[in-house]
Amino acid sequence: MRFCLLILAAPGSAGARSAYHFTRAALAQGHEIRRLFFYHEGVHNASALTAPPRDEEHLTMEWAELIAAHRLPATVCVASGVRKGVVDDRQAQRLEREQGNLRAGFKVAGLGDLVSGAAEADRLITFGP
Amino acid sequence: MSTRLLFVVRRPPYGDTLSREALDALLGAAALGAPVMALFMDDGVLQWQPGQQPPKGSKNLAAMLKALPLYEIEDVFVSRACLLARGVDPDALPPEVEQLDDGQVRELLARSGQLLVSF
Repeated sequence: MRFCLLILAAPGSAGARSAYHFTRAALAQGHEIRRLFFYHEGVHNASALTAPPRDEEHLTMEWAELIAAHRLPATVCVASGVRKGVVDDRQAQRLEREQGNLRAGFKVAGLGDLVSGAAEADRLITFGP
Repeated sequence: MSTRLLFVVRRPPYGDTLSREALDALLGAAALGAPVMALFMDDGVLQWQPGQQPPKGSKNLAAMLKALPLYEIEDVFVSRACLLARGVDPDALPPEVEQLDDGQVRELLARSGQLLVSF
């Protein structure tokens, strides 16, 4: 089965953790992830600047590793990203900041990625905040 | 896309940016030509409360709802039971918004459960 995931929950919340473990379990069972779309507070899952204490999970890093290992298409919505402060270098320059904070493996794009992800999926699942 | 996306709005306006982003996604998807439907239930029915006066710095979401027909979003549903439970006058809603009873809400969700965009 092909899945498209809409992730609205920030790292540190149950929603984000569920999304991550769901993705791992789905891949382990041979399913396909057509799109991970990070929106609303979910954009924080793509931040390169997080550094939780060692005895806590580091979800942004875990996402990046999973995305790299399986070459998952992971999009941070540009509108939410700009609003909430998770941007790539190009956008950062446009906003006259020194650099972006987007973790490697994620790309920034518009709602079209959610729409196309949904079009290519058998199921669209939302992980809420 | 052969199956339609159902946007379910369940949270109230203005508490955070979620409802604003839900409507942005709904209008954005429609603008991109995706076949969409919208269902307002639970606290999401409060989006339809007339006379909203959001604080400065918050976009008036009632104004965004007026744009739904302009984006050719025709299938807009509201749970009537949720309207009544939250004291929103059902007669205050525009006639093109279809008010569903609980059985119809269940049936809509069952029909659309595969592609649910849930806010």
